[in-house]
Amino acid sequence: MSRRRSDSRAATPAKAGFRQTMTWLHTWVGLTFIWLLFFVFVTGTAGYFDTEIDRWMQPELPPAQIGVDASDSVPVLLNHARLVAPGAEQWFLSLPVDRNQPYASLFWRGADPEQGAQQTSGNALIDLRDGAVLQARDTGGGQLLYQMHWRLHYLSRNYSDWIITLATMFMFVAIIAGVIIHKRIFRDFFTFRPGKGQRSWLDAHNLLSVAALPFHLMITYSGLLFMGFSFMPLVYSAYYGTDNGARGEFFAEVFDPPGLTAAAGEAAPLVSLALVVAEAEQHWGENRVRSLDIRHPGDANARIFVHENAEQTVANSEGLLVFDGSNGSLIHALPSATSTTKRIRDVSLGLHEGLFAAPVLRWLYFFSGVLGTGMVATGMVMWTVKRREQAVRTRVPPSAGLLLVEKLNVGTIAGLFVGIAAYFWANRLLPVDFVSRADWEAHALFLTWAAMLLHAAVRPTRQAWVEQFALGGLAFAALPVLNWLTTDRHLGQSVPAQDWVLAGFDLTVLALGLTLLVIAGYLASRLGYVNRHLPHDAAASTLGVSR
Amino acid sequence: MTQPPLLSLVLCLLVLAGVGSLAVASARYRQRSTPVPMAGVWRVSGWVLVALASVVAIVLQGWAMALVYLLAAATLATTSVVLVLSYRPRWLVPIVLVALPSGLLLFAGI
Repeated sequence: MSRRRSDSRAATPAKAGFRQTMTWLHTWVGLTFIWLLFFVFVTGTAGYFDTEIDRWMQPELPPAQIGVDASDSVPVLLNHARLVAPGAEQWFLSLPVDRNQPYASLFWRGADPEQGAQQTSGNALIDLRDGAVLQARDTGGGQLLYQMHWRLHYLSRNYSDWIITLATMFMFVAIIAGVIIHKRIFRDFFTFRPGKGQRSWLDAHNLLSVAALPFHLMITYSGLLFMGFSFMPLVYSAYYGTDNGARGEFFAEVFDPPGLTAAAGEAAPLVSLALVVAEAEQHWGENRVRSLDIRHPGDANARIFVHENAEQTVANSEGLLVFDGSNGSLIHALPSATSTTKRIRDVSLGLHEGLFAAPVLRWLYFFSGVLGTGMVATGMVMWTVKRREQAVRTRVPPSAGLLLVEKLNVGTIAGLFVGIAAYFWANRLLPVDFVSRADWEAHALFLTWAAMLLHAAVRPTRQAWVEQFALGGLAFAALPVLNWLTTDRHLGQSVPAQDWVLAGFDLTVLALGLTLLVIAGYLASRLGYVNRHLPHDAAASTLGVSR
Repeated sequence: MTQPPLLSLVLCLLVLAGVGSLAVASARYRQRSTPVPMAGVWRVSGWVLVALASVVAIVLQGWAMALVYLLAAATLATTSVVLVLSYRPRWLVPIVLVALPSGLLLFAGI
C-alpha cells in the first residue's frame, strides 16, 4: 500500500504520455539489475588494467619483457617445449609483444609421459633472459577480476550468460529510454548544480550519462553482441539444425582455422621456426607475430598457425598464416577481415575490450568506465532520494521496498569497494603455499562484500554509508603500505627503478582510497551538521539517505 | 596510423579548448560568470576547434582510431568543463586560452 503511494508520481504506462511511459520504463528497467550492473561496471573498468593488476598480484615476476625480437624469443620457447612437452598434440607459443602479453609463455596439451613429459598439459611463463620458468604465487590476478564482470564467478555459464544478457539488454533499454526522457539534453549540456538535493543527483546522473554516452552505448551494445550466440541461437540453428552438436559445428566452421588435420602417425622433423617467422614478418612487418600455434609437432601432418598482433587496429581480429610444419610451405593466408558481418562483430568486440589502446587512450577508457560506474551509482541513489523526500513530505513511513533499496545501495556502492580491497589484501596476506590460494582471494572478495551487505542491514543507513566508505578508503589507501611491508616491490623500489606498472598500481589504489575517504569525510560532516541543526525527518531527506 | 602519446595529448588539448569555448558561449556560462563579449565568436571558434581536432585525428590516425580518440577526448573534456563551470567558473576562459596555444604548439612540435 505504502509502496504504491510512494510510486504515485511514476504514472502507470497505460494512461500516460510517451515520455512518462519512457520515464517509468527507465526507472523500473534500470532498477531491476542495478546492483549487478554496478558490479559489472566496477570489475569491467578494473579490467582495462588487467595485466597491470596481474603484475602487482605476482610481485615475484620481473618487469615485462616486451619488445624482444621474435628471432630471440621463439628458440627459447621451442627449447622449453621440447624439454617439458615431448610428443604433445599442441604447443602454443605466445611472444611478449605488448602490454596485453607481457611475458613469453608456453601452453601445451596432450604431451606423452612415456617420452618424459611430467604433465600432459600445462602453461608456463618463460624468462627470456635464461629460459627458466618464471615462478610466482598462485593468484586469480587481474584476469579473474575482469572475468567476474561477465562470468559472475560462482555461476556456471548456463546461468551467467543469461543473467548477463538480460542485465545488458535492460541496460541498453534504460540508456535509450534515458536519452528520450532527457528533455534538455542540449540546453543543459554544461549544467551541474551542486548542493540542491534531488536536483543535483539528477544533474550528476545526466552529466555522467551524457558525457560518456558514446562509451555507454558502445559498451552495452557490444556487450550484447558478445552474448549473441547464447541468446539468439535460432539464427545459426536455421542453418545447422537444433540438435546438440549444431552449436559446435557452427563454431568450428566460423572460428576454427583452416587446414587442421589429424596426426599422420609418421615422425617428421619440425621445420625451422625461424623461416616461418621470417615469412610471416614479410607479410605483416617486423615483430608483428603474436603467437605460434603448433599442432602435432614432430608429425608428418604438423601444422603451424601464426597469428598477427592486432594492436594497430580497433577490431579484435588478426591476420592468420597456416604453414605445413614438416616442409614449411604456406598453406593458407587469411586476412583479418573475412566477411562484413564478422568484421562488424570483430570491431564491436575490439572496441569493448580496448586491447588496442595505448596508455593515454587506456586511461581514457578507464575514465569512461568510471563515469559509467558513477552513472549507475547515481541512478541507484536517485531512486531512493526521490522516494525518501516524498515519504518525508507526505509523512508516510518509508516502504519496505525503499528501505531494502537503500540498504542494498550502501552494501553495494560502498561495500563492493571494501570487497575488492579485500581481494588485494588476501593476495598479500594469504601464505604463498596456502591450498587453493587463488580461490580464497576471490572468496575473500565475496565474503567481505556479503559482510558489508549485512553491516548495511543492521546499521542505521547514514552511519553505514560513512563507515563503509571510510573502511574502503582505509583499505585501499593502506595497500601501498601493505605492499611495502610484505614485498620488496614497493614504491621505494618501483619509482626509482621507473617500474611504472607497479608504481602505477600503488598510486592508483592510493588515489582511490583517498577519494573514498574524502567521500566518507564529507558524508560524516553532513551527518554531524544535520544532527545538530535539523529535525530528524528533514535531515534524512537533505542527506538523500535514510537513518 | 601514428599514435604517439603526444598526439593523444594534442587531441585532448584541442578538444578541451573547443568544448571549453562552446561552454563559454552557453547560456549556463552567462548564469555562472561574467558574460563574455561576442559569445557568437566563441561558439563558432568552439566548433572550428572541434573540427580541427577531428581533421588532425582522421588524417594522422585513420577513421577508426580517430573516432575512438576523439570521443574519448570529448568525454574527458566535457566532464572537466562542467566541473570547472560548477565550482570555478572564472577559470574556464583562462583554461581555454592556455589549452589552445599549448595544443597548437605541441602539434607543431610533432
